[in-house]
Parts: sequence; structure tokens; C-alpha cells
Amino acid sequence: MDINENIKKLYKLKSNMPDLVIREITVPRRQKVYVLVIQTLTSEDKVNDFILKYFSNKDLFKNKTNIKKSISEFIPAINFHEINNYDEILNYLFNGFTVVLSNKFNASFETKALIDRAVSESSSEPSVRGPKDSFNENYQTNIGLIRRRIKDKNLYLKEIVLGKKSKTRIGIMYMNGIASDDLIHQVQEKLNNIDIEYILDSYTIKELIKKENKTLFPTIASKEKPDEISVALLNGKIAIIVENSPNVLLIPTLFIDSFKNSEDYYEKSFYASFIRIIRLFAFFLAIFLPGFYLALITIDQQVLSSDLFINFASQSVVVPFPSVIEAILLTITFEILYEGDSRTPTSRGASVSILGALILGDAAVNAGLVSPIMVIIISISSICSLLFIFVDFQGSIRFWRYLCMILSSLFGLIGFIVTFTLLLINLCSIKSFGIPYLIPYVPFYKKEALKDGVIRSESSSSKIDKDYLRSNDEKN
Amino acid sequence: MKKIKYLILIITFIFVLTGCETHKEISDLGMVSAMGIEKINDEYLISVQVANIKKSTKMGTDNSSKVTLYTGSGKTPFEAIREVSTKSSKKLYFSHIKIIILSDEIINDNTEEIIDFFTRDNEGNMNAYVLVSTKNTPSEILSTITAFEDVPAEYIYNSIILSEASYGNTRILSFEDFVNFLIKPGIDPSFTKISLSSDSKDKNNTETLNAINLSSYINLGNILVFNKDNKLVELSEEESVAFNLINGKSSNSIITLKCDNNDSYYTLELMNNSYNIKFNSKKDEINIDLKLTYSISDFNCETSLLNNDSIKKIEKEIENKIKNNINSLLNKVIEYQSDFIGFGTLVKSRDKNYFDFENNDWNKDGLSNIKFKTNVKVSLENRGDLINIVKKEGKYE
Repeated sequence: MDINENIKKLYKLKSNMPDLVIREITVPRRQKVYVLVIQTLTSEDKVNDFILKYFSNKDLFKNKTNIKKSISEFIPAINFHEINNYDEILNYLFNGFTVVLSNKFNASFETKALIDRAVSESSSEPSVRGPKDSFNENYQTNIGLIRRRIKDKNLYLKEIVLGKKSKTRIGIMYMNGIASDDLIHQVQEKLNNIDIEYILDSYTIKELIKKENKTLFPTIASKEKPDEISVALLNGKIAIIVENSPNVLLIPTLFIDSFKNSEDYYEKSFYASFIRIIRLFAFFLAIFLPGFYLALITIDQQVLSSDLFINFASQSVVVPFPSVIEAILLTITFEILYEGDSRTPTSRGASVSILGALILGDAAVNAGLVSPIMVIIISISSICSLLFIFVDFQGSIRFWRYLCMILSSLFGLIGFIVTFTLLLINLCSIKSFGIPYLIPYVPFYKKEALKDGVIRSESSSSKIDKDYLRSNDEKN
Repeated sequence: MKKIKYLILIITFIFVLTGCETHKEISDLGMVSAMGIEKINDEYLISVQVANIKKSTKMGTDNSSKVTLYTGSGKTPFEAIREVSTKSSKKLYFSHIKIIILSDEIINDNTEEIIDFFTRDNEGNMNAYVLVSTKNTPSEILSTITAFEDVPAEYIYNSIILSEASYGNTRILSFEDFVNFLIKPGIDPSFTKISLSSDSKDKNNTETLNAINLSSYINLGNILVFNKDNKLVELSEEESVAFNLINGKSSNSIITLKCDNNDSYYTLELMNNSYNIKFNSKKDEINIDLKLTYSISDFNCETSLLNNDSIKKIEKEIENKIKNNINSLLNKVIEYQSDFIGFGTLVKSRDKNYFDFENNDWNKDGLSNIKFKTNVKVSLENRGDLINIVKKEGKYE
């Protein structure tokens, strides 16, 4: 590796990269040492204190003849690498290292600047009880947050770099001995097959590796809280940590996982089970309530009791639209409101809710554009869908709700039943990395279903045994 | 590919299963809550009580009528209905019909036509209760304003359920049973009479609702049955109560008796009713066993209730009274040759070969050969919180 040639190349590069700093230092015996940094990625203090200060101390070189030895041994940096070619120089520079080039020896030292935000409370998965810290965009911090919780030598971390331009580091974390080998192999194979220019968030990885299913239900979850990831790892799941993304992916993700919340594990099992049953109930309400109501008032009125008939009819008699149009208009208005609310800064959030509550809840009813009962039905259904933190899960609920509304208003209760059947067929046919989506219920595993299913028993954290996450071949 | 095949299959199923189900907005439907059918000058007159659904207002402020009565006439029931439909802006919806009031002429002469009309139409409610009006016409009854319920049909529906159990002189007959009982040999239908207590002019004025004393009431009872010539006759009140006792329908009917030694009366309430009707094919005999438990609710006799003998005596008296009532009811069965209690069904279920129901007339040939044996056992259980009767001060000896 010729130093002069490299320096020439680097100077050429500098014309298009003004934040690249090349510092030439002459050390005794007329030797030249080049110190290179990218100013925007490195901490100037670190470079000054540990590297430049070292070279400015001329006494150090007096008795030493071997520059290689003196640099590698006496520069105080823990993360130190030798460099063998030009590409490595650039790679280290882009990662915030200081590169020292000399005639005989090339090395890099970590002098990364802290350009991350601090570990803060999760905004998308808030919790009342239990740990409140959440992942941020720093890869090292994220791994640290997990390691801090599982101090075990069996917590394995496999690293690969993906993305031709972005060169993003991807970490696959799992508990050796607990996670299924088959699953690890599958995940690694899928990741290795990825051919992509850049990765900016873990979502990209998620899209690329979940192609096996035609469903909207999430088969890979993305979580923001290290305690949830730790529980999952200890239960035999695999976490994928992507550089620059605060969302860590969990594989496999099953249907029942959408009904679990990290807080469930910090509460009495009775209450946790109760809340999970409520969530399951809310799931069905969110999908089926508007469709069921539409089926009753547009086609199958004979099912209603006379009192309900009079009640419903007297409420919808003033509405100028057909009920289906009324329902869809109201749902879409709610979606707009919901989207508007999530995009509005908190300082202006109040105006959205006031407008929503006044215009939707009261004025629209008084103006006779929608019936009060329809507002109630759509609101209950929408609020029920908000119980689920996963955005993907909410999205799938939305899809099935619209399908149910359309089929029910066309075919009445039969359309409603058909939607229910289609939903069951879809849920039963999904697999998340070879594991049936409805496990432990379909197929039924009694022990797991009672331990940490919809019902959570008190002893669920005492022993780790997730046999059902293993494929059939491994078990035999 | 397989999945698409299944999807096509499912979609085909939806279309096949739903058939000719049509889209109908709930607000475009006129909910029919009651229907009355009568016959005037050889033409059917059908009156339909439709729920008057308006924009819901705050409770208590709306004083307008909650139902509207439409009438129409025609040579056939369907023609009459069509005429009703032309008067209403909403499509009439018959699935929520609660009561059907038929005039006695219809029952006497044209039952088959009515049944044909109701069963052929797929939209009717077969659980609607059938009532018969004799004194007043169905349209008169259906235009009466009632208290408590906004919809008069609802009022009648609820009070017939209540009175069958508590008073015992009415009988619930759904339209489905009505048809079955008419067609099947071995049982004949029995109807509840419906009438108005007065026919004052302002009965359909909403202003009457503001009066404390309603000027006209809807009266239910007694039970009507067919006689020998297939005409309706009314049972007495005591016979009606006895009818419900035999069937076990009446759960707390009352009985009033006269005291021995003074002119007062006393009333007892039925607490428990266990009945057992057995058929003995060898002896041609039907045994009716009733075990009734009564409690005293009203007592003004000079007899001491602490005395066991007097209790026995009261029990005996009730037994005799009920036995008499049942016997007079059974005499009516024989006299009218009309099996409204359903002994034929009992005989059929116990001994299939006893009588040929298909080819012979059970009411004429079978029923007259049956001997009845009634056995009533009454026990007094609760005397109430008083030991002696209440007397004014100074009358105690």
C-alpha cells in the first residue's frame, strides 16, 4: 500500500468532501504521518486529546525506532484497527474513526462523536408500570440496553452489513440453547439473500423478509422497548437490530403477541388475564361491529326486537344518505381525524380534538347528517382498534372492518358470517417463519395456552420452556 | 390457484344463500305491530297498526301518537293489504307483527283463506299471538290509545302474557299453533277474547293520555272455543281458569270462596301447580291429577286458622270447587265435540293404535268414548303473617 498514492486520492476526494480533514505531521527522522478525520462525524476533543497530543510530544519518538510499535502501544484508544487497503480507510472514516497513515504502518482509532439522542421514554408504546426506557437510533446503545437486562454468555449476537450505499450494520440477537436452530438458520439465510442499495429503517428489512404470507396481520413485530425484547429473547425469539433504527424486529410474531403488552408481566396475573380477554373482545368489536349493525338495519331487520327496530329507525329516519354511505363517510372522517391527530405537534393537538369532538360528535348529529347510533357504533369500533399498539395490527383491523362493512351491507348476516369465516381461514393459513400463526391455540398446546396465552398464570416467568416455537423436525 | 378456487366457491355461496334478499333501509320500512282482519259485506277489511317512526325527540316532550292505523278492503286478504300499502308512504314490514286480531265471523267462516294468506307469504311472523274480537271490531280495538306502552300492540302482547299466568282466564296462542291445531287431528285451537270496556268517542285521541282515568280499556278474556257447529262460544271465567290449571299454564291464579259462618269471602292464591294427565287405553280412561298449593291472601271468616281441622275443611272446599269447575269444563268438551284441551294428542302419544286419527273423526267418535277421572289435591301452605282476623277495637271478647 503506497502512502503517497493514497494521500493523493484522498486530496482529490477532499474537493467534494470539505469536512474531510487531512493533517500532515512530521515526526523525527523526517518521517511523515497523516492524521485523517471526517469532522462532522468525530469528536474534536477526542482527536485533539489523544491523537494529536500524542504526536506533538516529541520526546516519545526520541528513543524509539519502531513507529508502528509506538503508535499501537502508546496511543490511548480501546477501539483500534490496523488498515490494509484504501477501501478500509474510507470505511473507517465514514464510521467516525480517526485514521493515521504513515510509511510503515496504517491504523484507525475510534473517535466517534455523540450525534444521537439520549435514551428516552417511549412515545409510541407508553407504559404506566415497569421500565420506561426505549431504544434510540444508536446501534451500540440498543444492544447495550438488551445486554444490561440479560447478563448471560448465551446471548449471542451475529452481525452482518447490508446495503451497498448505506452499509448498515444488522445485528441478529438470540439466546443460544433456547432459540430454535432452524429458526436462526432461516433468518440468517433470508438476511444474507437481501440485495439492496440502502436501509434506513428496520421496516425495510421487515418488508424484505416477510414475503411468505399473503396477509395484513403482522408476522414480524417491531418493538421500541428493551424489556419487551428481552422477555421475547428469553422465550426463544430472535431480535433483529438495525443501525439507525429505534425499532427492533422480533421473529416470530404470533397472533397472541398482539394481545400482550409489557405491562402484563408487571401486574397480577388475574388482572393481566382480564385485560387480555378485554383486548380479544375489542378485536372482534373493532372488526365486526359496524358490519353487524349495517347487516341488521339494511337487510335482516327481522332479527331485531321491536323496541330496537323503533329505536334504530327513529334515529336513522332523518339521515339523507343510505346507511352504508353514512357509515363509510363517518369511518373515513374518523381516519382523517386520527391521521391529523398523529401528525399534529402536541402543542396544537387540542384544536384537533376539539374540532373532532364538536363537529363529529354533536354538530353532525344535530344537522341530521349522521345518526347518533352510527356515531356510537363507529366510535366504539375505532376506539377498540386503538387498544392495539402495533400499527400493522391496526391496519389489518381496518382492512377487515371495511370488508365486513361492504359484505354485510350487500348480503346481510350471511355476508357477516362469510367475513368471519374468511378471517378465520386467513388467520389459520398464516405462518410466521414456519410456525402456525394461531399457536398455541391452533394447534392446541395446553400448557402454553394456560401459561401465557389469553390467560396468563402467575408462574409464567419462573421457567423457560417454549417447545412450540420449535419446528416438528427438531422435536423428533 | 387453490385459494382462488375456494374464494370463487365462497362468493358463489354468498349469492346462492342470500337468494332474493333485497336491500331495504330501516328508515324506509313501516313496522307493522298489529293487524286486524274482519269481514264487511263479503269484503275483507284489514286494519294495520304501523309504528309512527319520526325523528327521535327528547323523552316526554312529544305528545303525538306513536302509531298510525291504516285500513284497506278487498275481495281477498292480499287485495286488502295492497290497498293498505297504497295509503302508506313506507313499505309495510310484517316481520315484527306482534298480535293478529281476527273477528269472530272470520274464525267461523273463512279460517282457511286467512291461514293460506299468512303462511304463503314469507315475511310474516309466525310467533304473533292470535286474538279474537266478538263485541268490537278489530279496527276499533286497534285504534285505542293505551297507557305505559307507546305501541298498543306491545301493550296487548305484554298483558296477555301477564294475565295467562296471574289471572288465568286467557290463553296464549301463537299463529303457528293456531295453524297446527286447526290442521292436526287431536287438538283444536282455543282463543282469547279481546274487547273494549267502553266505546267512548275519545278513545283514539292522544289527549286522553293526559287524563288519569282512561275512558276506555282493552279487556282480555275469557277463552273462546269451537262448538259442535264450528262456531265460537265463550267459556265461563271459572272454566277458563280450570283450563289453564289442567295445562299447568297458570302459575299464580286466585280462587275466591264464601265463608261458612258469615257473609264474608276469602281468597287464596296459587303458589305451586303440578299436574299429571294419564291415559289408560284398556279402561278408555283419562286421569287428571292436580296437586295444588295455595296460600291465603285474604281471610275474613270466623274460623280459626290455628285449628288443623278447619284447615283441612278449607282444603276440602277448594278441592270440591276446582273439581266442579274442571268437570263442567270436561262436560263442555263432550258437549261441543271439540278437543280444545288436546286429549287426542295425549292419546296418540301414549297409544298409537288406540284410535285411527287419519280416517276417523276423533272429535265425534273418539272423544265420546273416553271417561274422565279428576283427582285434585289441595294443600294450604302459607297463612300469612296474621293468625286471627283483624277486628275493630272493642269487638274482642
